[in-house]
Amino acid sequence: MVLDLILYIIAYPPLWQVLILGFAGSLAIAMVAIWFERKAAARVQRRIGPYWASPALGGFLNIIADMVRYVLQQLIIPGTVDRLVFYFAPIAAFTISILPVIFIPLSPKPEFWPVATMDYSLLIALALSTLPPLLVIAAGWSSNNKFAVIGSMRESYVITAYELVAVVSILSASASLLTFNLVYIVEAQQPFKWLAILNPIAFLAAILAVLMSTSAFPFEIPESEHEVVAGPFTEYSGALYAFNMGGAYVRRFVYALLIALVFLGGWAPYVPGPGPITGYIIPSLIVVFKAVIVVLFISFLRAVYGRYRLDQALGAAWRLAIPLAIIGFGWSLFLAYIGVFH
Amino acid sequence: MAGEPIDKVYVGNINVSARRARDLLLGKLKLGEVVDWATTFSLWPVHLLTSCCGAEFAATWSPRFDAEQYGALPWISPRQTNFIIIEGTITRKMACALRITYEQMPLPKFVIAMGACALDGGLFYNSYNIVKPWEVVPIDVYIPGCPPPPEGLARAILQIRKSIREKKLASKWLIEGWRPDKKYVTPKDDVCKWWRP
Amino acid sequence: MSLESLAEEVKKVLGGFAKEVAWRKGYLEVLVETANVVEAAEKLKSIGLDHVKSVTAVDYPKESKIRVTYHASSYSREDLMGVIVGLSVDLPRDNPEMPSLISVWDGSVEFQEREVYEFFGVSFKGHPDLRPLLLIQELAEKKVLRKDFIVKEESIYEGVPFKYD
Repeated sequence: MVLDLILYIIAYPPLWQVLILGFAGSLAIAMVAIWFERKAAARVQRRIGPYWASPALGGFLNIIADMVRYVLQQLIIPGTVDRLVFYFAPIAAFTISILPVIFIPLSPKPEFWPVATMDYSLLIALALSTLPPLLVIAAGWSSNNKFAVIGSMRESYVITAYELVAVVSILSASASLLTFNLVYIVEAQQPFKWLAILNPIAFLAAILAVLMSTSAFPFEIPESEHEVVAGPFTEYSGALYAFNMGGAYVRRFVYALLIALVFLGGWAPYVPGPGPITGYIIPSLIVVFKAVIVVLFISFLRAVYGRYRLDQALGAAWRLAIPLAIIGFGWSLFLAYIGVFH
Repeated sequence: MAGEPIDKVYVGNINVSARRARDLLLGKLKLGEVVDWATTFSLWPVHLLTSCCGAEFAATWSPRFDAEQYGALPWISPRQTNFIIIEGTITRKMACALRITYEQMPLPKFVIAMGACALDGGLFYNSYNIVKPWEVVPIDVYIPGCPPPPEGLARAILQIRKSIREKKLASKWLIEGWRPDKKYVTPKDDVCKWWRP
Repeated sequence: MSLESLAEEVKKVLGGFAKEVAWRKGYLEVLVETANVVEAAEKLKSIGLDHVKSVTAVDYPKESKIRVTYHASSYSREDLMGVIVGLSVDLPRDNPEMPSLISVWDGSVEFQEREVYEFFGVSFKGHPDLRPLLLIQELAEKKVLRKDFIVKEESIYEGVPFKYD
């Protein structure tokens, strides 16, 4: 009785989906991703990586130490910045990065979170996830620093090229399934008809676009430290920089959630049952698990690849990634024509 | 309340509130110790390679010696770092750059002077164009050697960590808002006298 | 091209400008008058010596002169890539002044003439931006690389003063 009550409180969607999975979960996953990124890069280079902060946890507390240090450091506001935009752009970017979680269904049951199971949920989540780069550009512009302005110019080039790839390749799912509802998209992929297997071209283009638009490592062009100091975040210190840095990882996690639902089948091998545990908590954990695998794969690429130049990356976008996304779209139209899902 | 003007806003004395909040956070909640602990494991040096000791700086973060296991990671912009390593000779023009870089970093910040040149001139003790780094920035740890081995630099990082934990330097400087030993260094106008933008 | 034919070619192209053409250690030294240095440099450039590797100066206090040398070499002619031709000018020591060669070998001499200016006090006429490059202004006025600027030294043995020549 009491157990049921506690379960219903935990499975209350604003608490479970937005606060626990959306906010705390994405923060924790951002920390895990940063830790894995540093540790994997160290292992590839035959180093140890962060270790002595907590030898039992493999140095995971080091990331928490970095975070605490950033948050409690002196916050320097240079005298020449546009103060209002300088304060609010990183905070707004971080907050808007989490917003698409509201429209991402983690369970097929409409009684848990009717907002997420509505039609057009894929479109709204995609549209919201393309907003934060604009605020990154605003952050760089308001810094009134030449490196920051150059960095935000690069960011604007990169998002013009790659948000298109992300949108086209992820929307190819709705081309083959004739719906924008993420629940139908996932249910059509039961049990193993995953779009990543049936349409690997669109999956590849989507991964490429996520790498690019969240400026993950092979395409870390706006913040490339050898050319522009820290890109749009050159003047940011302390907690505001932590917001900036965390925002990119949260966006990566949200994109990974979308990819896990659209291409990796969501909760696919599992058929949700009644009740909050089998109907809501277990499917959402399966989705988050798949998303974490995508995030860690993206983080691992940092250790393996060098950085592209801006012109190489833009050339790769217009010559390779956009044709790839369009071919993937055409392939999913072909899938719809031969009727794989119906 | 009748008779009072409507547009009045009651916020209290903001200085008293700030002092109370500080006393609560530092006294009861021991936030200072958290800051000290976090700073010991997050000493990120800024990239400012002035001289040949920079080769040893690179070797310290290389696979063989790997100073990242202590939590130190060389980072990009001075705004996001808290730790500066003076590698060797500082010329008169570089002294201004060093001072500007130092002043761009947020508190609490720490300085290591590395090599014989940074101690007292070293090979260039009688040159007309060098300054001693302790005239430009306050220094926490000196490393002798020409150049010091990477183990020496790693040991200096451990030494800074020890003094932060024992003397509670990070939280102290963060509360006071400045480094107390900063008054012994040359004023910035004298260091950057040559520089006319 | 053999080295002797290079000397012949340089002599032929410079005509009457060359006071002295001689092989020093590893490079061909050409000495010209100060008034003719721009024309001489243009003629050297016309045979393919298209850039300057370094600009340097030597102080001769006993002969009361400063010799400024431009080490020119080539990127465009393959047989000239391995050789260096030094174009030298003798200047009076008390007021060294010469026309800047930035009109001939633009970019590659700009910083190096500034360096010679700050260390030896040689002023280059026509240089667009003649400021000290590495030193501060007060030190550049002392002309620190001339032989009569003495750096204070410590003796190895205590009490025995160090003798300057």
